[in-house]
Amino acid sequence: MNRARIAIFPVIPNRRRFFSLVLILIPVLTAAGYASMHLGYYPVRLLHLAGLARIGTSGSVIQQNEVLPVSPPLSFLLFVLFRNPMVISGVIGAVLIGYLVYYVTSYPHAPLLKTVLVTYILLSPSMLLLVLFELEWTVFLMLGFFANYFVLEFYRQEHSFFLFMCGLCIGAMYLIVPEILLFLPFLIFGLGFIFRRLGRTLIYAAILLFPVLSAALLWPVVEWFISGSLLNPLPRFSRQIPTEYLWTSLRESGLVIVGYLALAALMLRSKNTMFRPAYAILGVPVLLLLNGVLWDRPVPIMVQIPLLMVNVVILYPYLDMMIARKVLRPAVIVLAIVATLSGVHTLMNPPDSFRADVGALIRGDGGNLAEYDRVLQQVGAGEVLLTSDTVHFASLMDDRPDSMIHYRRFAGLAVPPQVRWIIADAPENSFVDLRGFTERYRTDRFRVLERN
Amino acid sequence: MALTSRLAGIEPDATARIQQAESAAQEFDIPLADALILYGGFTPELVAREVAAEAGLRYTSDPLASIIPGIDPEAALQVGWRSALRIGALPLYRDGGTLVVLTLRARNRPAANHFAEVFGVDNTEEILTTRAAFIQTVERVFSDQLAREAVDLHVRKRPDESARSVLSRGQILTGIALVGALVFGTATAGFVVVRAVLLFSSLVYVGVIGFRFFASASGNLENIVVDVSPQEAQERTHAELPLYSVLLPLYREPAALPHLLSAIRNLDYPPHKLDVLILLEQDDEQTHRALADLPVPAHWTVLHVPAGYPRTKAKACNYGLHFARGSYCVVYDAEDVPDPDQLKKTVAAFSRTSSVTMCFQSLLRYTRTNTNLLTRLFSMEYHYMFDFMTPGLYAMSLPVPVAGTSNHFNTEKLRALGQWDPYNTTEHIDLGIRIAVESQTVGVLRSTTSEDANGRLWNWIRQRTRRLKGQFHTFLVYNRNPVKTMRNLGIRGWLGFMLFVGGTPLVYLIAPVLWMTVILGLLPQATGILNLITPLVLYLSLTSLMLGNVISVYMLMLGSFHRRQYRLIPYTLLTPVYQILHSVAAWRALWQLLRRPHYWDKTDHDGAGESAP
Repeated sequence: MNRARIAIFPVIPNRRRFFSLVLILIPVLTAAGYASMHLGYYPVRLLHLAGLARIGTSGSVIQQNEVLPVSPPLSFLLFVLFRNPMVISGVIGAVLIGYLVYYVTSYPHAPLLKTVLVTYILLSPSMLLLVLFELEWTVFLMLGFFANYFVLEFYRQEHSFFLFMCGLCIGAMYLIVPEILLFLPFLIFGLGFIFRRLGRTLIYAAILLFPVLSAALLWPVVEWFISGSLLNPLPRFSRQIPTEYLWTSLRESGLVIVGYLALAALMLRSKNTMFRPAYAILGVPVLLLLNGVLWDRPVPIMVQIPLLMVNVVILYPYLDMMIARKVLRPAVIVLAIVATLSGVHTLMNPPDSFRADVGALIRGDGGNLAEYDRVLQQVGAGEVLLTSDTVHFASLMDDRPDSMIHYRRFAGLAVPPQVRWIIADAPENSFVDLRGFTERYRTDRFRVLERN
Repeated sequence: MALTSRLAGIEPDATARIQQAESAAQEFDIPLADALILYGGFTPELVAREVAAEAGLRYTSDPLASIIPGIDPEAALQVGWRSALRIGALPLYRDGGTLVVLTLRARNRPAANHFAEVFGVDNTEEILTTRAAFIQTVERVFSDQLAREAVDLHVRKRPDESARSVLSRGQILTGIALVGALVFGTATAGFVVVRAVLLFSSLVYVGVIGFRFFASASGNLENIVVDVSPQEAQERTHAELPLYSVLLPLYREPAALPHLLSAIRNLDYPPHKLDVLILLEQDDEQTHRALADLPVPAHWTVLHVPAGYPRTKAKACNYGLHFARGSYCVVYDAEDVPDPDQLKKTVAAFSRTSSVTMCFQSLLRYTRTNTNLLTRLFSMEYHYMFDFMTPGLYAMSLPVPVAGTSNHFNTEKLRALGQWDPYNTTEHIDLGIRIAVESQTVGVLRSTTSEDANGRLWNWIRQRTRRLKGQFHTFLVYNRNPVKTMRNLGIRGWLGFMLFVGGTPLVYLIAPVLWMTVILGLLPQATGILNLITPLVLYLSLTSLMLGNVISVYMLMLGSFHRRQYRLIPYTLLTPVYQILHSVAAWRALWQLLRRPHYWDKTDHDGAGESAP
């Protein structure tokens, strides 16, 4: 066993500097978030979670809705406690970016590479993209990357704590995306592949699975306490998934999957059995595919590339031991450049999911706003709209009409009896099963207004 | 006639033993009389009598009966017990121009010089006695002073940090204000106060457990434990080894006594460098009787801790420290079985580390862990504590609470620190805080002391009650002046102290509140109350409870896994049950703190465990 000093996390050389960097980054990233909204880039998912938090804390609970106020618990909890998505992404983004900076500085040697990577992490628009617009998915995948790191360290140093940290990371991943449960057989297979002995594999699997299984068993209990019914923890499995989701997800993730396979091939070439756990990165494409299929929203390629970059940054010390430096270092630098360019491209050509009609609504532009006003005229006093939250949705934020949607105009309320209208929106390239959505809500209580 | 000739004349078949003693005396450079007792196996009475005869001195085997009635107490007090113990002589009375003294050694020049200085006498008449008898005499003559010193020294040196009182005036006023605010708030704002209390409780619950987990992540035993190889432990010659005092505080331990004595006899340390002090409570008849029936090595000292308030282990140890002669000292409990080379390893460890290390804590290993469910949970808890929690506190430079046993001290530094607080039932935690305040450190030594895991429920609850009470008390003591404590420990140290020393019992107090919330949620009749609490507060309380319990289970799993005790892992799922037991002990501790703060809720040891050699 390695008797050198065992650090559970890679050592941050200077904690004061780390915290100073984080404290500087928090206001910078928060301001960047506000600025991006004013420029028309909207963190749709974060606004959605903020809305859910508002619903959840208004004193009542949505029932019979796939989007519960208590799920996904980790994301939701943050918004219950802190409300403002810009601040949340600023704080979490600052910690992630700050940690990655110091993680890179702990690399041995390679000053040029360290400079390139630190510059990329701090200045690249792709990182800004990750923390401001895909924070949830970024945190989710980074937990996965660190889970992999911990398995590697456990294999290398045989220190128990690493295995337990891996388990906690996987447990935390469940609290963001419950569908990670699907990944568990892959995990156990991977453990067997790494440790090669059945007895050991089973014990390690039990340790690793404890947090995620605890979460999967206990969270429905919390939901039951709050909502009164034991709801399906994996609601996305309760409906049919069209095959075009799979093809679209593959299409979106294809390039990145190729990148991971190439990385795996390079690692296999090294034939260094010590790094078998590193092969766990092959799980990432599986996760990406699963996400695209199950979450109705494939992670855009311009997000997957910087995520691949983050994964490479975390795994770099191990890759350095497996792959020849004259191959690896240039490859990493090229990847950093590609990731930066993809970020710039995204900023200049944001996808619809970033500049949805809701952005226009928030800014009070014409067009859709007028149309919503027409719909509102049909709504009686005291009646409220529930909009399709899979495409456009009401974001419930502070009641500041100059920057956010006003609560009473577009909000869905947590109190089912007050909801009368459903606005079902389905632009052409969305994945919404409009018919299924409207069928679910077409009851005596609701009137559905379909818009194309 | 020479001493050896005299002894050979009395015991003709003891030639080999006499030769052995002579060799030892020469090799170790110790008085022949001592060598005859330690290495020749002669009784102290026989040796002292013959030494006296050889020197033409009087001898008494029982000073208490034969001399004490005639003693001049003023003469004794003029010298004082410290000097008496140091020079090995006690003035008894004047006989004309001659001072009659009780002495351990014939022709005790240092004593004669000292008495000449104090009393102005040129002539001393010595009455020789054995060490045991001498100590007993000192105990009797100075019983009040010794008893007072054992209790008052700490209070005198550190009045603000004594656990003699529970709450300071400031704390009482703060408590009254807090209770008043709660009552007023409840009367005016109703359930808002209840919600606030629940929210605060949830935050504290998950925060303290989260801190414990974070501390565990920071620490790794391998990084802090001091390894001393068996070869290195044996490197020093007997002459190079310092005198080592072993304190054995016992109270109602007749069953554990044989195993403890056997374990201490097994210590690999030169007898002439070992100063074993058995500390019995004066009125503990059963242990006295049991000890009388056992073969106690002649060079061990039996002390009688005066009865009186408080009756705590700390007081007994302070009393024993009066008589300790060692450069280092260690405390062992009744059920302990230390590794034989533990003392030698400690000496080597102290010589290797910096002068700021004043204490080494040995690793504790619990045996009989498979007796029942309680012993399993108990041992899992301690695996985690010693392998992760304590190293974590160490790594974060936070105050490290030493364990209640198997802690090795630099004796002089311990005395300078004010010894143990006799009023604190967790004197070891208090000591850990003081060590940190003085910028000294506690090291961890890779040498094990085995103890039996506590397998009886009520016994366990009493033990845990005492510990939690002590933690509460220590928390209150060092929060009498939180600004001063913060200054002494630094902000980080103070936070660590608050979260670990204060947070641990607080978590156990809060747990039933959160569980009651859960139970209320299950009752259909309680819907109205729950609505007043609001779903958000209920949600956060439930989340805290679930998260706290999952992390707690996982931490115990970690401890057992790390020690490869895989069979214990399934039992970790019962951690919530274990936590409920802790809660029972915590509430009991709070009650005792208010009613009987210094009461030592004795743990019974049956002395029949695996750890016994």
